[in-house]
Parts: sequence; C-alpha cells; structure tokens
Amino acid sequence: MEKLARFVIPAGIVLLVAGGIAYNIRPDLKAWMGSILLLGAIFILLGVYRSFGGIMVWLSRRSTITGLNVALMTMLVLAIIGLVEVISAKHNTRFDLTAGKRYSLADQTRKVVRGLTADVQVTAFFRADQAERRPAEDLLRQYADLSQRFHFEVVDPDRNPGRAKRYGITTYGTTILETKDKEEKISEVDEAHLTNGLVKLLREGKRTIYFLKGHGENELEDGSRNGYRQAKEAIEKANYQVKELLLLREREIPRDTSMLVISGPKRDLAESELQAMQAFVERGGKLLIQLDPYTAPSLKTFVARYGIAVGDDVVVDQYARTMGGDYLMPVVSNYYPHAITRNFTLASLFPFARSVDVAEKSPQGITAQRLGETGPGSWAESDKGELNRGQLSFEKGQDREGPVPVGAIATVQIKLSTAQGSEAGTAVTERGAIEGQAHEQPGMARLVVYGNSAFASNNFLNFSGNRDLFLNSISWLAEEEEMISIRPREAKNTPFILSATQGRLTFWLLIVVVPALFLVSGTSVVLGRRRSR
Amino acid sequence: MNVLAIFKREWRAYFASPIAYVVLTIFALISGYFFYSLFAFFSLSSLQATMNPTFGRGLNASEWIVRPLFRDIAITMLLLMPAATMRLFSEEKKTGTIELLFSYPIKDWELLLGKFLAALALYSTMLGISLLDIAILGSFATLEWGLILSGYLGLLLLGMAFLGLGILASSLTENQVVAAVGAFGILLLLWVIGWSTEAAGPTLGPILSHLSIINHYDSFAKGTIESRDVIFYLNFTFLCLFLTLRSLESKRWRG
Repeated sequence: MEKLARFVIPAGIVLLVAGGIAYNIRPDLKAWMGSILLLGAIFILLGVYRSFGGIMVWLSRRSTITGLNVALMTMLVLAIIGLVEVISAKHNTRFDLTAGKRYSLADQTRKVVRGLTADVQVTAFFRADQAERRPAEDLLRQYADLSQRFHFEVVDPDRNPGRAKRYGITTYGTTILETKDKEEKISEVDEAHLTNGLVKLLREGKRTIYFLKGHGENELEDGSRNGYRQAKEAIEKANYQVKELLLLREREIPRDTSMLVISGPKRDLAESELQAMQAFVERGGKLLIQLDPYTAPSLKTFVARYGIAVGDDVVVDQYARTMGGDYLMPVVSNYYPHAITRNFTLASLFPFARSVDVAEKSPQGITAQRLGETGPGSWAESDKGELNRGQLSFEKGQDREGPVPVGAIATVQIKLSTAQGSEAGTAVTERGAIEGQAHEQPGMARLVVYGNSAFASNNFLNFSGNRDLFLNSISWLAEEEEMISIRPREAKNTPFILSATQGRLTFWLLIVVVPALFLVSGTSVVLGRRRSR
Repeated sequence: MNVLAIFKREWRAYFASPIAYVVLTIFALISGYFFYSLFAFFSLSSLQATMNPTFGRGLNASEWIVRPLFRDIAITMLLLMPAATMRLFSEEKKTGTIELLFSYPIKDWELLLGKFLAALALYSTMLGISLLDIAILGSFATLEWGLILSGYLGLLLLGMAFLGLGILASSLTENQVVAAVGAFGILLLLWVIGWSTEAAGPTLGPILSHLSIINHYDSFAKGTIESRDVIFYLNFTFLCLFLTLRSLESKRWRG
C-alpha cells in the first residue's frame, strides 16, 4: 500500500496533462475530458494529504526555499522582459540610414495616417510564398507604427477562401481598406495606392451615382435574376451613394452627380434628355452607358460623337456553348491594357450583346479605346431575321468577323470656355486630394460604353470577371484626377561589370587565400603546441 | 579587473585550441563564397542590363549584394556560434576547473561577462573578415555606408543573442556536444518559428512572429534601425545571461 501511495501524485499529474492535451485535440468531448482532469486533481490532493508531513519537511529545507526564491525571481524578470517587449513593439522609433531614405514614408502619408480619427482595418490578400508579401507587410507595419488606429492583417486567400470570397478577391495582392461602414479596394500595395486609398476611404460625404430611369432601364431594387440590386449593393459598398434620376422631369443633370449610368434602356431617350447629357459631358461629366442590342438608337448617335461606334448587331460566339451558355452569350477573355482591365485574368460573360468599337477616326480632343473583345469563332450578326428564325450563320461580307469588341471607353478634353468653374485653374489642382475638391474642376469627361447590360445583373454579376469589370469601370469613371502623388523611391543604379581577371582575383582571394591563411596558422599553432608538450 | 582577466584567459584558450581557427576558416570560406556568387551574379546582371535597358532598373549594389550578404552571414553564424560557445562552461564543469574558479574571489557575473566578451570578440573577428568583401565591393561601386552600418549593428546584436543562448546551453551541461546541439536546435527553432505565423491564427501568430529571432534582423539588413528590434536582442541576451547566472548559482544551493 505504501509503495502504491508513492505513485499517486505523479499519476495525478499525468492525468492532468493528458486531459489538457486531449482537450486541445478534441474540444468537443468536454465531459469526458472534465472527468479525467477531476480525477487527476483528486489524485494529487490525495497524495498531498497522505504525505503532508514529508512535504512540510521538504518545504522547510534551505535548498527548497532558495530554489523557490530563484524561481520567483526568474518569473519576475521574465514578466518585466515581457512587458518591455510589449511596450517596445507598440512604440517603435525608426531610423532610416539608406541613401535617399527609401524606406521612409512620405510626409503626405504621415499626415494622413497620423490624422486618422476612426479605426481602419486593412486586409491584404497575399499567397504565403509570394515575393511581394514581405515588402507589403513591411510597408503596412510602417503605417501601423504611425497610428494606433491603423490595423492590418495579411491573409492567404488560398487558405482562407471564405474571407477572400466575402471581399470578392480574384487576384493576389488585392487589399481591402475598411472602416466600420465603408470599404475601399486597392489592387497593389505600395505607398501611393495605400495612401490614396485611405484618403478616399476617409473622404467625408459620399459621391453620388445617378441611374437614369424612365425608359425601361434595369431596376435597382429588383432582386430577381434580371434586376440590378446586387450591382447597387456592390456600388454602395464601394462608398458611393446610388440614386435614380428621372431626367424627363428635370431640366439638367443635378450638380452633385459624379456619374450617370444608363443601364439598358428599352425605349429611346427624348431630345431634351440627350441635350442635358451633352451639357453634362461638356462640363466634364462621367457616363456609363450599357446598350442592349436593337434598343435606343439615339444613344448610338450620341456616343458616336465621342468616337465610339455601336453596331446594329448581335454578337454570336460558337465557343461560348462549351461554357454552358448558348450562342448568344459571348465570352470576353481578351482585354486591352487600360486602368479598368489592369491585372485582369478572368473572362467575363456578356449575355446577348452588341458590338461596341472605336470609330475609325476619333474627333479632335477625344481619345477612344477598346476594352475587351470576344474570342475567335465569334462574329457580329447583323441580320435580325436570322436571329428571329433561330438559325445563325456567319456570312462573309455581311457579318463582322470576330474577335468582336463589346466595350470601349472615351476621354473627352473639355474646352475651357464651356467648362464651368474653370477659372480656379491650376490652383485647385495643386491643393491636392486631401481637401476633396475634385468636382470643382473639369479636367476630362469620361465615357464607358458596353454593348450589353445583363452582365451586371443579379444573375451574372458574380460570374468570374463580371463584377470586377463593372466595378472597375465605375471606379475609373469616378477617379479623382488629383490623387496624391508619391514618387516611388528606388535605390540608385550602380551597375558594374567585372573583367575576367577581376573575377578570378576575387575568387582566389576570398575563397582560397584568406581561408587558407587561417587554416595554416591554426594548424601550425596546434601542431606546435602538441610538439612542445 | 576580474572581467578583463577572465576575458584574456578565454581569448587565449580560443586560440590555443583548434576551435577558433576552424570557426574562422569555415566562416571565411563560406562568407567568401556567398559574396563571390552574389558579386558575380550582379556583374552578370549588369552585363545583361546593357543589352536590355528595361531590365536594368534598380540594379543597386547595396540591395543586390550587401543586403543578401548580411543575411547569409547571419545564417552562417547560426551554424558556427554554438561551436564557439559550447566549451565555455561545459569544459570547466567536466574537468572540474569550475570548482577552482568558484573558490577564487571572483563574482559569478564577472566570470560570465568575461567569457561572454571573449566569445563576442571572436564573433567580431569573424565579422571583421567580411569587411574584406565590403572593401572589394567598394572599389567597384559607391557603397551606402548607412546600410552597411545598420547591417553590422544588426549582426552584432544578433550575434549577442546567439552567444547568450550558446552560453546558457553550455552552463546547463558538462557535455560539449549536448551544449552545441542544444543551442543550435533552439536557435534554429527560434529562427523558423515565424514561418508558422499564418497557421497559428490571429492571436498566437503575431507572438510567434515577434519571437522569431531573424524577423527582427530584416530591418537592419535593409538599412533601417528600429527601436523594437534593438530592444528585442538586448532583452534576449540579457535573459539568457540572467538564466546562466541562476544556473551557475544553482550549483551552490542544490548541493
């Protein structure tokens, strides 16, 4: 019995540890773990009770007291060191010794970050092994050092697909800046993007996007397949206010409009509306026009003025069938380089679209560009009769051969005489984006035209690249001209070329001669000592 | 004065045994090789840049050679430093000379500091060898002295942390191999602990990343000095030396 009693305390400790480990592995088996822990505790108490006298003697021994003392002291030192670490990690001072201080943030950035009045959470999505991850993390840490309100996290989208999905992340390196009620997406993590993203995020007052109505346009509140509710929600999340505009009733487009969207009108626009729109463009307005086949001929003439040619046709894509659609759902996988399509890798789907191309010759002061086109095997069918009969075939000479462009942009230089508020001139531009005065100066009018409106409907918005294409178009249109410019600081170029002799000299000196010197002197000393012994 | 005497005794001991020579030779060989390959690669890249101008952007000798060189040196030190510290207390324990030292009127901390400084001196000598690389590089390209200064400061602080842990391991055992392998193992673990940051989750992750001994070094290598990194290394070294003192003391009261 006495022998057995000796094992009571160790057995109790083993049970406690085992229970703890088991709990860590299977937290769901609580009752089971609990009983093991309880049993362990009872064993220990029992053991202590039985050998109470012995323990008291051991405790009163000098070495035990000293040992406990040392343990206590060690704990204290550990606690102090831990505290110092926590404080030093939170309050960091940094000295940049590089030439040109290339690892320091610009003054504008410091001003913006130090002035944060609300908590900002930044989530950067990088693959764990991505080369850009480290520099991005470094940069974010520098921001976080400037303000307690700046929090960041770097997340691997492959390991956290749920979070990536929630923010609609489709490319590595995409970063979300968010406050409690707003969010802003940036495509690259560098100082210019990050600081400008912050400025946009913190901008007081939302900018307003008007959706034209009164001609059978897509319904913003419609939650059905063809509705635009999801698109509206996505735009609002990106920090814009979305309103509807019945232009037939108003004389002109409201002054607070940062962008007008005309999304799939079924009936034609009135002459007065077109005039209001032209006036809007002439004062630097931004327009997003989505035209479905065989609708709104007056808009076709309207955009033609800005160098964009909308075709009277339907795009047919033979290969689209393989993706589960029918012939009339062209897939756009080839994009032209532009701010809207930068870093695009995903295809987008345009169910029932017409061709949108740039005019052969752009009017003066206008630059037009295609955005994306369908693949080979597609064509633009101009015979409406064929479409109605449901028998589509490509007729050379009559139909336009693929690839067929289905989206284009135009930037329109504003004549100073027609632009209002231009007297402020360059002074306004220089004041910078922090003041958020973008709407006061005209700059350029911008148009984005797509030959289809269904691609951003509830049914198709989340299809691979559609969402990005739609939202990027909106953010390009809304882009403030005067972003804070932060020049990227790069190390100076100091290239040199070794001659063969110099290369060999370095090799022999560093890899042979110097190590050999140490080896020889070492050997002689050790041998010398051995001999003298 | 006692510290100086211990320092001299240890310094002589290093060079009387093969340890110092082996460590110096291996370091010269490895760091020389690292430098040569970086140096030759940079020269090759410069040559390619002359043919393709867009490729040559940011071809900076400090970024391409000095910064990776410092990191390579840090790895080499991770391997070599446990060998330089393994015998400091283990040998004395094994041969019994430690009893003799304890009987002298020397305080424990003086003994410890003397040994630590001797090891640090050996470490600095090794760093000194790498100055030859910098000198060679300096004859080809303009150097960024700020970056070199912060790099060496970082290496020195990192080295102190390595030595501190090595000495602690040496004070815990009388077997030199156990001391070296133990120190190396723990340093390696502290080196890679930051890798599991992602998997560890949002609370434990930052702690692991903070504990990583090399994460604190990166800022020095790129030319910036951050107060939290300096404090981390000093704290780490201090903790190791403090624990070493407690371990030396325990010999007296454990009986």
